[in-house]
Amino acid sequence: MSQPTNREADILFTLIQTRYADRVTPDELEEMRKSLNAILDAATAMRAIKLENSDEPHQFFKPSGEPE
Amino acid sequence: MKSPIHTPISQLSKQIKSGKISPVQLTETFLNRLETTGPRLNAVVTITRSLALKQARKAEKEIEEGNHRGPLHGVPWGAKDLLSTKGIPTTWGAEPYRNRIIDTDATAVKRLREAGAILCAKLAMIEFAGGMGYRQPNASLTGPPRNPWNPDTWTGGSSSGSGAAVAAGLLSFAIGSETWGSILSPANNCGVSGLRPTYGRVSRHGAMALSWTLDKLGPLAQTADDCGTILQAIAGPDPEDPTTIQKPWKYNTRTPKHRPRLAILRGVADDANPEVKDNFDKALKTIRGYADVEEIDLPNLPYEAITRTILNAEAASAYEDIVDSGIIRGLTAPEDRWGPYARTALLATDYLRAIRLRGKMIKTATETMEPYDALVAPSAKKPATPIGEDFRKIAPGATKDIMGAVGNGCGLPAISVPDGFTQAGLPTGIQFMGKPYEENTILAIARAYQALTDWHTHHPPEA
Repeated sequence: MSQPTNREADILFTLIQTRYADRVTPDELEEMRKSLNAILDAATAMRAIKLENSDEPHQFFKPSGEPE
Repeated sequence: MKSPIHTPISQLSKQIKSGKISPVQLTETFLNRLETTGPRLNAVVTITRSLALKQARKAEKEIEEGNHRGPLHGVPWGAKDLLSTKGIPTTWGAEPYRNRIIDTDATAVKRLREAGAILCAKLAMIEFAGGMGYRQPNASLTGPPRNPWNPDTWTGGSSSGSGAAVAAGLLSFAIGSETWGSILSPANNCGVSGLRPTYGRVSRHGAMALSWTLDKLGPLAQTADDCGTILQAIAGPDPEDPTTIQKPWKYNTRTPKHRPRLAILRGVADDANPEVKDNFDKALKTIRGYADVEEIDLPNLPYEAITRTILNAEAASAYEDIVDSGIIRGLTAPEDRWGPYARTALLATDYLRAIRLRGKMIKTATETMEPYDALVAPSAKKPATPIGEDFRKIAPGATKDIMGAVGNGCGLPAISVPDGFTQAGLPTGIQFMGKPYEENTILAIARAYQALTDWHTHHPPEA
């Protein structure tokens, strides 16, 4: 699985800036970049684990009601 | 009559049932303590005096007439202020919601009312249960939550008022919530017993959602035995919360016939504060008197990354409208005013990867824990930190907490009980983390520990 790159981090940070830059100070924006880096560090650790097609989410969808 | 303050529920209940203690007088005693000591600790949001006295008079009348409902009948309690209560403000610890009323009772509140318990207060909490990314204790509309053992230190969070109120004897018990650490942390810092039940054991209906697949409600009380009694009252299926376990749960006070087999994750206490580690080592010596303890390894997986990603993604969605509205600029902690923005850029594929890896984490934890009754570890790596100090320097998620990541990510029950004090007089705790649905097992192990130690009988000096 490909790992987050600096380019990916920059693009995601641009998204955050686009949405919220008018609400925060430059210092807060810098802190938000650090938070994003922590999020991407977690993604890096998870993307290093190989998953098979059969590895389904541990979350089960069930249609409403019971069968007749 | 011995003071009812800090009296375990099992004893208090007998005295209430026999008429030696009046629920009305008991409620008055705790209301007075909430009104005098509560504000000094920043432990209380709302004191529900008139409701409490009404409930207490009703309880007293019923008991006099021979209709004793059970061990919580007439016993005063407090709710973390993320449990909605009809006609009473529910603030989620957040200044913008100071006067907001969610006009319904949470299922846990209803069940405790049906058990005859007396709701005396809505208790302080970290704003949004810490879900905005706070880094220091001054993150609540009621001010920084002060620890009864030393008001210049922090209670832990996010069930801060729940921990402080029980430790200071402002109430017999409290209900808190945990997404990651929010029951065990205040139990540790305040020197009380705190039980995080299996995910789905207690209905979340009427409780603020931070992370739908991680949130749990549980008790903080004087003893492990009290926690079992309280859990029985609030546990069980609820049509209002489809994630609830569909079997009722009964507290079993019998001592297991077999010698418990416990495991410690290798190195789990290595980076703990030396006094925390020393108290943990002493606790293990005591535990080896009634249980086998082995060191084990947990196979390598990015446990913290998995659970943190689930929490970040679910919180980003749960709070999306709130964050977008801009009202978070009115929060108390400066870092909570921008903290939630970054995680809105978390990719859906990374969240789904976390949910897929959660299956592997559960399989790994299940296989590793299979031969054992519980894992044992320090409840926290350090005792209460100074009230003005950042307890983390960087964004949430960078700290190593494998017990919290596995326990919360896999929905496992855990109990924290006090295991000693530091030289500065601050409590430390030990946690027993069990397999899913096995609250009775960890409660029995914790009861056995408390039968051999007296840490849970120490109480803070009057604040």
